[in-house]
Amino acid sequence: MNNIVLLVILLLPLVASLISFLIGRVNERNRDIFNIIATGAELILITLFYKKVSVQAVDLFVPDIMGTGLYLKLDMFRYMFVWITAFIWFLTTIYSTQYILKYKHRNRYYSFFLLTLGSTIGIFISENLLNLFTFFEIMSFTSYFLVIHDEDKYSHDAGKTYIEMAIAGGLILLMGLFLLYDYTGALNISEISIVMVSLGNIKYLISALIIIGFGVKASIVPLHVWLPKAHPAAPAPASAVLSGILIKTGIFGILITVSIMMNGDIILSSIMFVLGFINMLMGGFLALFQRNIKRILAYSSMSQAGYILLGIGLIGLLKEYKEIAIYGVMMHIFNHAIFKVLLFLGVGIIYMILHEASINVVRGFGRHKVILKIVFLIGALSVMGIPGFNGFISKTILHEALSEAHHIYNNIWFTIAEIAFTIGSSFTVAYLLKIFVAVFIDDNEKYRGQYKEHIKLRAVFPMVILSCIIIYIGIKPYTIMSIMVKTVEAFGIEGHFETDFFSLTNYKPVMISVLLGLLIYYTVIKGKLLRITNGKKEYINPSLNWISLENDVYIPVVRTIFVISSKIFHFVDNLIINIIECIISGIKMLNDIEFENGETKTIKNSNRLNYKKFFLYNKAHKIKKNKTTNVEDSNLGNIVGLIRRNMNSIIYSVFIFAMILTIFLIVLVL
Amino acid sequence: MRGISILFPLFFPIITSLAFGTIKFKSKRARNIYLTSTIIINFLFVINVSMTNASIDFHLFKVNDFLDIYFKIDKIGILFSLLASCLWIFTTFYSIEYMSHERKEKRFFIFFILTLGITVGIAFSGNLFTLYIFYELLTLATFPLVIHAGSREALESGKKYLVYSFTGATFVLLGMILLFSISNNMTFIEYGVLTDLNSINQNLILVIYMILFLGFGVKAALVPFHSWLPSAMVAPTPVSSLLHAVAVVKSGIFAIIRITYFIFGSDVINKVQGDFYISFLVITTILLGSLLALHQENLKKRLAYSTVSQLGYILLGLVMINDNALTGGLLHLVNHAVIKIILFFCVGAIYFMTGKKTISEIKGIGKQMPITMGCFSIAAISLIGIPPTNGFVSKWYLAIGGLRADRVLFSVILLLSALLTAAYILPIVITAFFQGEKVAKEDHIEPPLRMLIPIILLTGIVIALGLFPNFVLNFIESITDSIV
Repeated sequence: MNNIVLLVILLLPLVASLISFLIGRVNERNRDIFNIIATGAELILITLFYKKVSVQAVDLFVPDIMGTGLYLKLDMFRYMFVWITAFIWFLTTIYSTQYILKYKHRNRYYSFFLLTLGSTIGIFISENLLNLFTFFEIMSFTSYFLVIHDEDKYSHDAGKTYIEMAIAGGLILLMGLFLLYDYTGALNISEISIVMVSLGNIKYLISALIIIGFGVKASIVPLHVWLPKAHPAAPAPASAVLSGILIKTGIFGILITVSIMMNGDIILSSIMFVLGFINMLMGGFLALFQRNIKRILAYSSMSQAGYILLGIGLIGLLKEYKEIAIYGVMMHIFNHAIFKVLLFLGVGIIYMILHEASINVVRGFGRHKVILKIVFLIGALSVMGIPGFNGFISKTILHEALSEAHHIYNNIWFTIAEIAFTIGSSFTVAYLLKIFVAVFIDDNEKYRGQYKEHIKLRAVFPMVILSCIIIYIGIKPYTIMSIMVKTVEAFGIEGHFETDFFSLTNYKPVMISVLLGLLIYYTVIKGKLLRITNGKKEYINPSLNWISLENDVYIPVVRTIFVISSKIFHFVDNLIINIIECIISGIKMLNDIEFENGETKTIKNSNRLNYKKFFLYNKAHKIKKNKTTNVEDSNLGNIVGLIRRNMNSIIYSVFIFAMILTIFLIVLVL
Repeated sequence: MRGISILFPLFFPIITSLAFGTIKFKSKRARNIYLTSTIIINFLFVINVSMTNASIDFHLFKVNDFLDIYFKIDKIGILFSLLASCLWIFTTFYSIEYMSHERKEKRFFIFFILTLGITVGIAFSGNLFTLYIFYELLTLATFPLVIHAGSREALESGKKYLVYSFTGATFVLLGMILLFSISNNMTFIEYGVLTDLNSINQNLILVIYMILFLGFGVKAALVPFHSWLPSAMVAPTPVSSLLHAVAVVKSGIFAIIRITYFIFGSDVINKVQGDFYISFLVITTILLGSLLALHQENLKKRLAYSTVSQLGYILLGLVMINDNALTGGLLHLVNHAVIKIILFFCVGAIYFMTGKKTISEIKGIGKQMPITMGCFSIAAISLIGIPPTNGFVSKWYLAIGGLRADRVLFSVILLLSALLTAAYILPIVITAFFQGEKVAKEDHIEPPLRMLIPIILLTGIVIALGLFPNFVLNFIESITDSIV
């Protein structure tokens, strides 16, 4: 019975997508209601399933599908991912019903939105890596339609980068799976972890390939190129799930690779730890310069993914004390989904009304919109990690894990890491302050509280719910943490972790980073990036002129390889034809030498000999030719030409047939 | 004389095609019924032959051990003949509609049915000599189809096709003579006919194998003998789809399977390292096909180069000489046939409805023909090898086979080629769907049902074989178990 429910959870969105498409062709209103019911039903189903899953993991095996069978498993570790996915999808679907109204292709949007939900849940509950890969690829393709939904030049450009990188990443991941299957003979995640330990250095190659494959989705530097383009391109609810959930599929993959399959291998963990910092700092730094709010948020997602990655690194580094890092990682995955979706939905409202997300245009828009201002502020404060909001909880746990690692290893690198952590957090403070001040505090005579009627309850409701959750978790973190106790078991340890969040020791790093963030805001953003021309405030983005990984590295490299290999293969393509033409023209050149009267007898003889050959092949022309041409004046080129003209294809083929046979026989006889 | 039942699927189409030439049909309808019933009856004949469990064989006439027309049924022959005659049914329906726009329908259908008989003949050949005879007949029977248009370009391509094919045949004949001189036996037997290895010069075996491989490789579009295939795309679409993506090229592959596993045997090939030298050519084939496809503006030519590269996949599966790779190769033989026939059908449907042939012309065609292009997209995804389509399953087995043979490079090349495949096939989909003007529902110009239904059914097969490959997979594994 339980495993049937598991199958229903997977199939419900996929079937709903089809039904929604069919309903939508008849009546759009009914379709919207159906979609909300479908995602709601999914959420309720998963929520009710909690009781069963918390007692024992549920699994389901259907043989024969795709050759290896479909193996699904839902334990508490996966449950958290699945629940947050269904929850976010439910809210964004409600939100979409207003947001998408003004867009074309609504039917297509909802179909692919639901398909993406189904495949995302599929990723999280697959126990078999091949199934996981299948859902991963389906998700890449279905979410492509969300990215290019606007069908303008920008979104197609972004979509192209997105799909290219997704396919390339998918293939690298597949290579990793090939090797994995070849060396371990297993595809089920739990079995792999046992075999992996005994493999030699090849396991690093395998896991590197898999991490690169997932890393494209998780936007690890330097595989992040698609993210700042694709997330702003999509409609806001789609950007929200792209940033909130789809990044997590990549993170989920990395998490199971590093922490479960590789058992938190120390080398791999250190690499993830470093990569996490690079992501955190680079994402935060670049976010400072952006002017498109959605792009700031996209870079912010990249930076927050960095926090999670460094947490994954810490899980391995902390070894037996790893439960604290696991808590940090899982909490941050959960919290980031909530606050980032909230922020995207908030920006979406602005974009819905003005069709513009540039900070220079929408400046001052939210000054008189109280609800929007409040929910956005809640989201922003949460990302910054201010006490009382959920971001503070997960960042504090991660910070504590970092201090713990510092305590264990006690070397200079961890001191640097702690400083970097603070700087990363201060970037967060600065770029969010940039948005908030520009949009909600600055005054702009264009926007005086009009457009209020555009903001409908269906759009605000999801944001209010999200804000409530943010504050609830921020104040009472232990409720959710008690649920997480079981999650830790997936990593092979049992542990419980408690800390007093609301103490001065935990406030101190927050205060430092907020102060540092304010400093950055006033010196860099206010000081360098804000220009006042003709009394108008305008932000500039110098980073546009910096070296771009995509345009200056990837594209030229690929293009050069492409041009060179094309040249080579074009040559090979025409190789046979070229050789034959070479021989023919060579013969022609030889034969074009005219033989004149009075030459030596031998040449005359040979000339006649050839002429005899000509008669043999071309009897029809014999008499005519004899009458009109002089033996001494003709040349062999004419004859060869005549033969070629008069032989039809079949004789030609037989001729070649005979020639090759003769040549071979001669070679063999010799 | 139970063995005589083997001759039905073989000679029935040949006889009916000759009869087709003499009968004057009262109406088009009568002709269509005649055509479809011929193909379907023949399909039933093939099924009938395959259902008989006992191995059937039949000597048509025998002069001596060399000149011996001999037919035999085995599993791999059944696989190939079923594949061909099944796809022939789809193509018949499609071409009845499609060819109404072209001239000389009668000539087309005579040779079209004739080719079916010859293809089945290739599948059921029991020795190399019989295979060779039918192989030559295939060239001659398909030649009129290639030059169907009668234009200068078509005649040029036809000439190229003949020259290439006969060059290949020459190699085969030479190889056959040499082979017979050392083995005195050319019957197809599992694990090969060369039993007494020690007394034979191994270099000679290698040379013979290479000659035969190159000879049959011409039809399998092995680089550098591939360039007839893109040229032959001047033929009408049903010819390009069925013959130049399935029957003809796969006959080449099938013949290579026969010589590799049924004449020489996997052990011998391993011993003389025949696979080693061939694999260079095969790798070039894969990369060249997919890279040059990127340069083609004409849709059919792009698909033709894609065929070159995909055939490389299958050859790769064959020359790695292990069971996983061979399973992958045979599976891809089936899967690629289905995928490529859909792609060609869709391109043909576009040409049929709008007369457009190049990528730049088909902007926004997906909005006019959403069902056709939808099927095209699914087939395209399968061609790249993305799950849950059948293309992925065969790629999985090929790559695992490559790794089992300790050749990581092969798997890397498979994936590289998959990337290139995505690069040449997805722009077609994107151009078709996301460029050009929006069209009203009334302006939809889906092709007639007789063209559309085969496309939809085949697309269904692509997904069904992707989700439940075991049906075909088990059959293929039973083949590979007995020959590797």
